[in-house]
Amino acid sequence: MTLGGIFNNVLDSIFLIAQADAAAATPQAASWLMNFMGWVYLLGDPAITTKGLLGSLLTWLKIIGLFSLVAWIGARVLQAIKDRISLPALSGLAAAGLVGGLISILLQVLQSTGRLALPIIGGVSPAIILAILSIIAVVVWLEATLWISMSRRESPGDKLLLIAMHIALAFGMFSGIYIVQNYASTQGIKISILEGIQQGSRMGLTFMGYTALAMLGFRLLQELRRVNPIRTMAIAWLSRKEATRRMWAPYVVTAVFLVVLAFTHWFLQPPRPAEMSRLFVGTLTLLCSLLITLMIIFLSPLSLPTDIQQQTIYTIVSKPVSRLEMIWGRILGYMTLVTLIIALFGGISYIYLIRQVNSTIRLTAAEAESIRSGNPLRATQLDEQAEQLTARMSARVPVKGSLLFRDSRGTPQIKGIDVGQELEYRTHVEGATPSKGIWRFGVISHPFDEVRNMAARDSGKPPGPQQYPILDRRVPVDNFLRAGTLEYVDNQIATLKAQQSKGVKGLESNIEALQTQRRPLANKDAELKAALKAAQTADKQDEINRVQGELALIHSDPFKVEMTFTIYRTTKGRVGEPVFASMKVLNPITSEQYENTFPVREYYTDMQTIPASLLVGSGGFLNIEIQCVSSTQYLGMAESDLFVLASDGSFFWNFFRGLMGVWLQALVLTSIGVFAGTFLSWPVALLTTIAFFIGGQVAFGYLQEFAIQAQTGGGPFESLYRLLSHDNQMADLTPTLAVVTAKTLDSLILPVMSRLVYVVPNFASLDVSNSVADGFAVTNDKMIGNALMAIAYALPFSVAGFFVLKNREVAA
Amino acid sequence: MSQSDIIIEIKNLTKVYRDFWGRPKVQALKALDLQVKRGEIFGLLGPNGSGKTTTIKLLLGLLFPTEGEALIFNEPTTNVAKNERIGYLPEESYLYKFLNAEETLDFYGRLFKISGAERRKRINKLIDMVGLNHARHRQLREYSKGMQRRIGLAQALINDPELVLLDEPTSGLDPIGTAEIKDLILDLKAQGKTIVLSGHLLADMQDICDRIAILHRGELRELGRVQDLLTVQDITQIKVKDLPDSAIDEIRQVIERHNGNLVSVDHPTTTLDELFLRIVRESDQFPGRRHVTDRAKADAGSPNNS
Ligand SMILES: Nc1ncnc2c1ncn2[C@@H]1O[C@H](COP(=O)(O)OP(=O)(O)OP(=O)(O)O)[C@@H](O)[C@H]1O
Ligand SMILES: [Mg+2]
Repeated sequence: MTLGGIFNNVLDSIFLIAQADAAAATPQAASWLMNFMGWVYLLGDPAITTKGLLGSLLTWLKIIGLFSLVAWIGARVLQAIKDRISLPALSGLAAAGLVGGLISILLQVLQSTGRLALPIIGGVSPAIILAILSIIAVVVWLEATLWISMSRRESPGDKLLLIAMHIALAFGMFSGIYIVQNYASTQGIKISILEGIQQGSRMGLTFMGYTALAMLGFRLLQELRRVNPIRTMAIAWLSRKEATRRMWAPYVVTAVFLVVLAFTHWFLQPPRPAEMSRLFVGTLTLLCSLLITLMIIFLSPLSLPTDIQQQTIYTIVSKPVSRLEMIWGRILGYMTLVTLIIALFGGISYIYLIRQVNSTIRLTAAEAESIRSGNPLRATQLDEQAEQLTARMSARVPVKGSLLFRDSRGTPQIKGIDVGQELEYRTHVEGATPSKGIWRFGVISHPFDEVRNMAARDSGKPPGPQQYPILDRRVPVDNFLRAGTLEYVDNQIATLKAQQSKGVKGLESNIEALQTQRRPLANKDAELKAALKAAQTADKQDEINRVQGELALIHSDPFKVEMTFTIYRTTKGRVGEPVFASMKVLNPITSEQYENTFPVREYYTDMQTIPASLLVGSGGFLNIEIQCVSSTQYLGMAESDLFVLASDGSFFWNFFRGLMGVWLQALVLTSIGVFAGTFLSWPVALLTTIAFFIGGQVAFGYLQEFAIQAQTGGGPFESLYRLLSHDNQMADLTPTLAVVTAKTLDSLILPVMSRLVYVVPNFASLDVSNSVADGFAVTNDKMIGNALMAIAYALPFSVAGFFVLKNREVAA
Repeated sequence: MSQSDIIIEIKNLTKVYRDFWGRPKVQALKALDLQVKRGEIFGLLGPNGSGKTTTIKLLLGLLFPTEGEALIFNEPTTNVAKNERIGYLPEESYLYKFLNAEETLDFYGRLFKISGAERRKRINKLIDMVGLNHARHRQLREYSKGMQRRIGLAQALINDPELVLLDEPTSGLDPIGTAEIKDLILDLKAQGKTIVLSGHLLADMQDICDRIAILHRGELRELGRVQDLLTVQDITQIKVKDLPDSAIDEIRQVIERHNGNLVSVDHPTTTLDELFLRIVRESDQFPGRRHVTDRAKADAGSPNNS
């Protein structure tokens, strides 16, 4: 078991013990201590987190804390080195520590690759002993350097902080050792004290990070009292003037936008008319985001360096302006500009879009009308196109299920048939066989578990234990059943009865009341249905319409299921004859069913309306099965291809949210650019900003993998070796000297890189234009999450910029 | 002298410019000790590269001292709040070229949180004062050097500061402009403000400074009242009017006999130029630090009356 695994269990066991104690209500002395240690562990281990906002906040604090710690110590050490205060003996110690560390890592790699068998001394490998000695040497050097440089400067705050950090380290170390030892004793196993120390130092570092963060936070608060809106806005005004008068940025950007827009319909040819809005929304948002990004990349990192280089900054810093105002003012200035430009571009795009798409819809509908008598088939096609275009210009909220399959022999499968199309992420069900795709809604087991369980059930065996997390994919029944309708009341009755059957007492009177409420509705329903039948036999259209209208009043509206499938044809079939799919909707609680067969519209969205009565008593559970009816044809589907349409929002607001995504991206990028400008010359700052953007936009997934060190083929140096030696990524490498060197370098660099990766923001996830283009609503949660994420990056970067600017000589 | 009358206090101020690796490049200022008192015009003199600008930048926190410290209004230089009461004219007019004169002053005024109405009043007054009324709506990139200097000066006064630091205020100005600036500085002094000037145009400094410090290669070489520094003690100068040429040989006798038209007897003064050149020459001959006392203080007990 890996160390990480052990500690995950530690957390579990600590909480479990605490809970068990609480449940048993036996006043054990250690109970509160265990509880406390659980929290200490959660707060202290850099890799542990909990779910939800608290978890994200904790992770954020830990990372920011560690960065503050490194920055604080690094700055002090650099200062000490620059001031030449290090004693020769100390430098020797540092060098010995570094060399020792390198040798130790080399030894460990040699050992693990089997090139070297070292004798074990006292249960510990000499490589480890060397590592510990090296760490001690470096720590002693660090301590001495810090204390000496502290004693030279009269800064009581720094001295206090240094002491606080030692307390934090000691506390972390103690708790780490305690937790590991305690875990070992509860599990009845023996864990070496070294692992306790290792855990202790991890936790100690985190607590030191909190301490450094608290100090920086305190300094920031002190500075915040100086921040004044008038001054900040004056700086913002200056940045805006600079952008417009010196760089001409907004004019250039607007001109490019208008030119591109003028030619849009030339090079934007949708493959299918229904794709038009998707293409236009996507392209226009992309254009907007591209231009804004370019503008920010050329404005924000250049501003401070030119100010310093041209020495105009002298007249600013000699005024009562806080360095924080200089940074936030700039960000504010650029973001005002960005806001104006986005509003302009967004407005123009929206009007352009609505006009283009609406006129297309109108033209298509008119054309359909004109040829309806002559060519009904084509007219229906055109109708569909118009309908599709309308559907895309909305903000649909999908409720997604979990997909699994049965193959042509009925065996449960996690995937359908792969028809050998490389780029297709959909898998297929074969026509005219038991093969089908099943979407499950509700509180359901993970598809991996469910496939196994289904197979067990099919063969009459009991299902096995759950191995994967339970999914919550419930249909929001209450959204679909309108209050006062028959289905609504039925659903309430069913819910209460379900509770009753679980043993909840005292619900009879409630059920009774609901039954009373239901009776008149049911009578009216029966009455109206009889009337409808009579009207139908009499073929009185007016009467039918009237009765249907009244029926609709006491029933909830049917709900919609939307699907987009592809068709893979093995035979041509008859020309013009569609491929048919059958749909079965099942309420697994009441076993009520709804079935329908419909022709599949290739590439287009199919919509089916399902009677609301199916939801009654479902508790949000629903199964939807799709089969292909036409033989020798295959229906391609993926999980997101079918969903229950929860609601339809306004396209305008969705489009607006798409633009908000661009705005948030710009905010993060601006902060990074301004930050880079506080200490780099403008070309380097520019490159840094570009690197951040590309890193976050394109390479984020790769970087994340890096962060969890889950790559196949090792770190950068090992990969390089594989590249040069033409070894594939999976092959075990023979431990030649080159391989050992590469692995050694990797083990040095990976831990550092994997921490640094967190600095790169996930720009791609801030971009929600794809959902908007597809006509899906960008949810509030997504927007709030993105806004928090943007702030989580913009704030630390801008504050880091403040500390850099405060501690640098602007005139040197 | 009470503590609050000392506006600037420089103690052992040392600045070493370092390169990227932290290696010392230039020692620009060596253990400078100075005090500037309320209401005086203090001149920082020295040849090019002697550390005048470095001193002023250190005072404003644009640079951090390598050793020693400077206090302004008894506050450390890193405290930005003290800047509320300071006006600063940089050595060259480092202003935003894309703003016009009015916008420039308005912007700096906002940094002092001056209210809109008050700002407008001061802007008009200052633009008038520096004689840029005809060019108030032109962007500074179109300004001549002297015009930039003038708007720079206006910018330094926007907050009606108690302490004005002017780094070579007259550089680039025409004679009329120079004279105007000199009048302006005297005017500021009359309003009770403290002024620190740097420069090497000695004739200008001689006229207006109360006290001067002469720096050379980062070291303080001379410090005191202008009048004291320029008085030559061991020479007596006699001005005689209407003396016939034939009488020149008899001057000594004539004077001994008090038989002439004696106009005045006093000590001659050299020009600041001569003093400056002498100090520079001497310190080139005898390098090394020399202890400098404030002559004003040293001579305080013995007014010269010979
Ligand atoms: N940013 C800098 N980096 C390195 N050395 C500098 C820097 N600024 C000034 N110096 C050096 O410091 C010394 C003092 O320069 P300073 O600008 O203070 O002189 P100054 O008395 O103002 O001269 P001037 O009359 O020419 O304006 C000079 O030797 C100069 O080369
Ligand atoms: Mg200078």
